[in-house]
Amino acid sequence: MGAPANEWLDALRAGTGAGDVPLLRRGLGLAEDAGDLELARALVAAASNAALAGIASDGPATGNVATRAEVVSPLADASFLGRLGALAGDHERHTGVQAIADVRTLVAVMHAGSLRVRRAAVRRLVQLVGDHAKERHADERRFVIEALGASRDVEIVYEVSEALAALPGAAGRAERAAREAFGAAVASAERITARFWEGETPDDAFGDLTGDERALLLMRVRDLPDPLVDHLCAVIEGADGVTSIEARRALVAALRHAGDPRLVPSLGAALAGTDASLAVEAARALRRIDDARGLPLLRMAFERSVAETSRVVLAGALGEHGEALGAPWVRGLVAVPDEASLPGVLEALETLGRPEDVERVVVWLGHADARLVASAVRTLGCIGDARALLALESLRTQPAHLALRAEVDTALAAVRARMELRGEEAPRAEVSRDAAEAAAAAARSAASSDPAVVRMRAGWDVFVGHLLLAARATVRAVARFEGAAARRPGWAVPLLAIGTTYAGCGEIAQAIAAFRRAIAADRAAIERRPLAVRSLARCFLARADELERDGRTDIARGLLAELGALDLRLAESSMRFEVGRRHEALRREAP
Amino acid sequence: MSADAGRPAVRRVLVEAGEGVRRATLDVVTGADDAALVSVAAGGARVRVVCSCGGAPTCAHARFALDWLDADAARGPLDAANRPPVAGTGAVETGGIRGPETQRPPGKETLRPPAGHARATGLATALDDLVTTVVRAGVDAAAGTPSLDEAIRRVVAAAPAPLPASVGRVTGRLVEALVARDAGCVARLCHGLAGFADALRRGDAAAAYAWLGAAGAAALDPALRSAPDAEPHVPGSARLVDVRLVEVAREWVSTLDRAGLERRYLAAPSTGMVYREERVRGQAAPSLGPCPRVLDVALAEVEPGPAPQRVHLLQYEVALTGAPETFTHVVEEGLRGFAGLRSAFRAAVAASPALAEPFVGVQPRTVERADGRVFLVDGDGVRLPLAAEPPAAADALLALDAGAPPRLVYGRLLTERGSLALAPLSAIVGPREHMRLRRLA
Repeated sequence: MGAPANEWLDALRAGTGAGDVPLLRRGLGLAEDAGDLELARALVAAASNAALAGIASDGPATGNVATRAEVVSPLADASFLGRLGALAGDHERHTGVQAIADVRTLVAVMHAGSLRVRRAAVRRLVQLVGDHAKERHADERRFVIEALGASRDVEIVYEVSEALAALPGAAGRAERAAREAFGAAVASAERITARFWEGETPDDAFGDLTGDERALLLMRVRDLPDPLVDHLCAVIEGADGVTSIEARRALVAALRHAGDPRLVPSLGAALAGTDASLAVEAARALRRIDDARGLPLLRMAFERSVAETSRVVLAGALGEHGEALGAPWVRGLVAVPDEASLPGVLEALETLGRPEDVERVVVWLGHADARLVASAVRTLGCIGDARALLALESLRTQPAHLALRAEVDTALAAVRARMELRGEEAPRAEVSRDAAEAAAAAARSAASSDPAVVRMRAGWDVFVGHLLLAARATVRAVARFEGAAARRPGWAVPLLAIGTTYAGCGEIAQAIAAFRRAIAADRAAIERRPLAVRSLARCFLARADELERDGRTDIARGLLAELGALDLRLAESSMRFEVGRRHEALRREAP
Repeated sequence: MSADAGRPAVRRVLVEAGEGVRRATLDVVTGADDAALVSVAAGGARVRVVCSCGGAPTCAHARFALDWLDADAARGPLDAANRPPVAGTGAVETGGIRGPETQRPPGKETLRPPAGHARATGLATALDDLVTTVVRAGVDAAAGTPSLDEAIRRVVAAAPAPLPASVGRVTGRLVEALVARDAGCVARLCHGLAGFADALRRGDAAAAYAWLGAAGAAALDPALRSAPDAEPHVPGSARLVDVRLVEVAREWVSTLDRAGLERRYLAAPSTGMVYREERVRGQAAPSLGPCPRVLDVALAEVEPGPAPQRVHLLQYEVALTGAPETFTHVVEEGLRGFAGLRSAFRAAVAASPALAEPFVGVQPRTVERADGRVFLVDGDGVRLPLAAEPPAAADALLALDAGAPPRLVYGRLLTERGSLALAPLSAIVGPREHMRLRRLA
């Protein structure tokens, strides 16, 4: 036993199968002919003692220990909105939503950002126009109150309610009056809960409440006192002794928008439980809670889950927390969707969807199942691509879908707000219509064709498109290019052609949208083409100028930052200098 | 006292006496599959009846118990034959645990040979094989090898079914430590497994019960069932009577399955002791109520083993923790200085290398973030790092931000890359008049 203590640990790491066993035996004080078992026992005893003796009370820092969960943008979106979504925690105060002072921009963010960003935008709006911001113009306050009052976004209903209650006006008075009903419902629930745990009633504490009271309580869980939340946790974990699994599922489903971090441990337990339906509902609730524990819980569940219906919901929930772990798998399902997994796929695309998915999602707007159509509408709103506008506007006027008008309006507002924040504008109606028809036809044709044929036809479309451009048939040329892009997703050439076509026509806001699609498809290919880089840079600079003149400096700064993130070596030196100078100037002007 | 088939009977009576009988707990059997513990307590002019079936005072068990006591009162005072086991005659009370010492001598007892001895030896052999397999392959290479899988499979096959939680937990930790290539942890666990194998060969009943629990030990050695009172012989087991417990933390830990075991930590404010309830995933909850909760326990059994000892709540009333004073006594029991934690951890692990997972409550003066880690710091500036498990719990602790450091942080002590760390599970925060417990896991 004369060896240094850590030698026993090293020997255990290496194993006795390959090491110098006779020497080890001597070191451990064993006989030369001691068996493997004896050797193993002696070694683990010596190594255990060595490990115990060597325990430090304050060890060296290690990179993977208790670090803040890193937030990664699922879409690697370099635009202003994408950066807002990727910034979290300590950074938010200086560079995220907290740094925005323009209420128009904040209202657009409230419609179009990720859930975390939308919540932050509402809080920031109250900071800017609330009682402590007297210097703000009355028109701005009115604008904010109207925007908050018109919000139909169920995911931020709590924040909007809090904001309205803090602001003057009729909507604020109504919110403050609703607090009294909430207080009465809480008192009632507390009485029933106390009786339940004292064994005086066998019924679930919330079961005896009226429907209105129940809805009010579950929507404002964050304001509930601890005992009531503890009771909810007991029910979720099945520790109340009376609630059936069906009732537990219903409760967790009702808590989907609760957003209360106090629920995280119990939802985590449900997520790791044996009931798949309960786990799916728990994932949906965890998706909407701003808490660092949600991401690892969802990640573990995703890695463990094998059922497609659960996995797809978990992938979407991970996307809300900024992790694109399930994105490739979901994208594979989008390519060949089946009816059973479709609701989950559409739900996952709310957070993982890309502009390239719009055409596939638009197809489902024609489905007979109204719930599926509503889900597709929400997904299109979350993706926020201009190509969805025509289809959504068309759906809005269909008598068969009048019941979906609120969802469609919310989605349209989200798409428009997203375009506004990205400095984009929708193409003219005739261009959009022709392009959408061409893309849909090309996608259908490509699905049933040989890949080599598809590539040839896509190349042919691009060639014909350029011929049409030469003949000044711009609308038909763009439709041809869109057809080629739909045939070969990931091919940047037709998208670049669309961008340069719009740029040539002076429609730079539309050109920017096309250039972004091209960059997303194949960034390296774009950066290798000097003409493309120059055209793109000119468009971004010109659009930033326009927005700055219009007072939208946050969005202008975002455009320049996005441009600065590209490899501009092939652009002119003067342009590179101008991009850097303008960005720095706008950065200095930031509050 | 034994029940005839189909006829209700009282199998056992536990009498708690001070000046006269204060409480009688009756083990009532009303059928082959139906038994319950009925507690009858004198409270002034009232008699309070609690039944473990939850239906007291109108359930069949309670009615039969009251009838039986009435008839017994007519016969005269309870005689010695009716009393055993008698708990808490007013003489012994240590740490909220009453009277177990009076029943059985302390120390190690011997499993009854020879019926179950072959099974115990088989399990010991499987454990030895597992240790040998790990040492042969080495910590750096053992994870995921077929020989390791086979060795674990043999341990599971030789252990009583269902697999006792402690065996599952230790083998699960071993696999995790091998995946993480944590040689120190692997050494401790293997050392503990080898010690358990020795104990099984020696017929050390105390070790068997600590590892396998009462049911597991009895399943391993059926001879244990032949005791005259038809109860498993639980060496060193204890009972808790009339004690208030506060559940302060709850977590899911891994066994051979990820998150395969739920642990609930129950603190006794009157004594500072902490106990744990356990359930394997898929089993019914061992007791009702959320975390945190207050439990007024009329009767509970405590299994032998390293702290926190496993407790089985037999009769209890549960209440939610609305009042801040619930936590006042609990907070006072928290450790203020962290300097002694390392030696306490060493002592616990040296005594039970594989089973020990010490649970502590500490009072930090501040919480610091440095070099990517979060530390609790005591009044003397001694730092206690927070572990990476449970995932993001340290971030959740920081996010609580109640304007002051948490009053108390509960967690499991473990080693992480050679240094002592705390896996935070819950925290008590807020001013004295508004103290509240927040779960972190």
